[in-house]
Amino acid sequence: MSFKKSLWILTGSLLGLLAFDFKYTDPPWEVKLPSNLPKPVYSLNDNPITEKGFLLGKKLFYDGNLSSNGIVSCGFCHQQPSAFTQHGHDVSHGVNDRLGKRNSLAISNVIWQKTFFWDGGVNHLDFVPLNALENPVEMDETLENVLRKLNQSEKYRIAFREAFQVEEIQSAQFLSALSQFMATLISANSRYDKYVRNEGGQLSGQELSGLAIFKQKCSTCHATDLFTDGSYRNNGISNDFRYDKGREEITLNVNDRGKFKVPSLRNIEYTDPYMHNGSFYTLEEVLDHYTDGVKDSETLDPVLKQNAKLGITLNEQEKKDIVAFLKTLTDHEFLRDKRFSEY
Amino acid sequence: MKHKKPIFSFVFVLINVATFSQSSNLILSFNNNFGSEPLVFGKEYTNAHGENLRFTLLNYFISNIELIRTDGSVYAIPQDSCYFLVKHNLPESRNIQLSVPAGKYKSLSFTIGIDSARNTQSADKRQGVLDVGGQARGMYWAWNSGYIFYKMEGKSSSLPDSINGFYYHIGGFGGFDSPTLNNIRIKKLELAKTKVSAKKTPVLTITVDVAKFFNSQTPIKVTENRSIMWGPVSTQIADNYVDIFSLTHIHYKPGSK
Repeated sequence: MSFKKSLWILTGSLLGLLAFDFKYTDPPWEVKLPSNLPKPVYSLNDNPITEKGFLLGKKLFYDGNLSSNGIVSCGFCHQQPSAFTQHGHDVSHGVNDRLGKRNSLAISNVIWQKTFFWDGGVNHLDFVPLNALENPVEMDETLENVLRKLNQSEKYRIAFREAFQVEEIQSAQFLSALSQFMATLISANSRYDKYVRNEGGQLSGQELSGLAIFKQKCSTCHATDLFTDGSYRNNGISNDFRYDKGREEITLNVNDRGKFKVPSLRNIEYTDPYMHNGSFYTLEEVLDHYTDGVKDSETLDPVLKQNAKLGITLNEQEKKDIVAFLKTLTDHEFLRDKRFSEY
Repeated sequence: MKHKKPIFSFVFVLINVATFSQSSNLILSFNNNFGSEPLVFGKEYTNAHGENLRFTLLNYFISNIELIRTDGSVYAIPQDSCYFLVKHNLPESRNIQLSVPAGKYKSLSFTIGIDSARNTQSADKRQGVLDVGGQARGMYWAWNSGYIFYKMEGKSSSLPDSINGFYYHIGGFGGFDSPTLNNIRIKKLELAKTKVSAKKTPVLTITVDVAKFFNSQTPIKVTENRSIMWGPVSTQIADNYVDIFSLTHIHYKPGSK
């Protein structure tokens, strides 16, 4: 081999190395864990978030090509201004106007969630997108076909190569990217948070009164600053479970009939309609349900049937105070955070 | 640069000798049958209840294989390489080659399905046959997270014309945060004394007689239970399908040395 040829090879290799280094520079994405929330459930060590992984996850989240009709993206039913739920739809609205049987849940603080969906059927954040993706009344696609579409796109192939160092996009990277985006959707900068963390958040007299009543009457289920204990309960929305058995569909245990996961109340001002079937459009209706509308059944949660009385006792003023308090859980920074927005 | 080539080759040979001298294998060969006949998709069979059956699909997971030596000690196939998906329409998937330390073995056990731990792990630990968008496509419930352990489908002229066929999708790892169906089943097979060495690779023929699926612990009639997925009957089916696996033959083929 001539000296000149060797030199060329050497130079080429060096350039290649430089290019390689430059291409794969992917700074880690710092996840700031709020001090008033417990230790996350999701292992960020299994799927370390990087800037490129996050951006790729976001691109996927807002890509209608993840659905069979090319329109229904994840962001279609999980809209940022509504705290990543679907505004104005009682039950989720999928491809070709097909309707699901449950209200789409808000996506925030998912790394603290042990199980997902109203019935807790999914046990790992990575597998959450699959449920919506393959549901005929939601995105009506198959993961296999989505991977085929992504592998046909040069832009996606480059993005996946840069984020995950793979030549062929497979389920693991696709699901990990979506998890990276969802994991960053942390909402903990509401006025309430800044109040409890002594960061200058002020609550009015009425809001403080609402907080006190809330702690006494609501926090059994809506516990901790996650505002859920993650349990499944029958809150008396219905006593006819023929159409939706809730948690029982997963556990096949009749004692779970009509039970649904206690949702977080963060950003509740913007996540209407409420309840697993989206039956209430205002917070006032929700509180009226708890005082006067609870329907009895075998599995009704005992906290809603104390001393043989159905529901929770609240007077009109207390309800107003609770609503005022609940609105302090709105995290305007989160709802407007440009890093998360579609455009 | 010329002088480097022999060194490279020499190192290469050394590595080869080192790996080959240690490698000893065992092959599990799954033969899907209906009674004494090899299973052929589309062919007509009659089960113990006189029902007519034509199979169109048969897939099952085999995992967590353990070999018990004659001295009672156990060799477990390492976690990262202990998952296999046998698909009847993919003949190569029916032969599982395992790298096993040389020795004498008296029995073998495996899980029909996927253990609960792997059913709850992150996506990066679900590759290869566990890839839900790849090889494991159709072998996973998205709405109720978990692998389908055993999937068998087909047609039956014993069913009314308006009905398409029979579907058995059996899964259930016991539940994540509250207990539910646990259809994980472990099969143990006696091997007498089977010697594994670098010179001889034992090939264990495991016959999978799907006729017994319908008539083992509990009679299963397609005319009564033609579609079993997430429900209590699945447990009876899992109990039945443990019995469809039996060791029918052992022969040896030359090993790597």
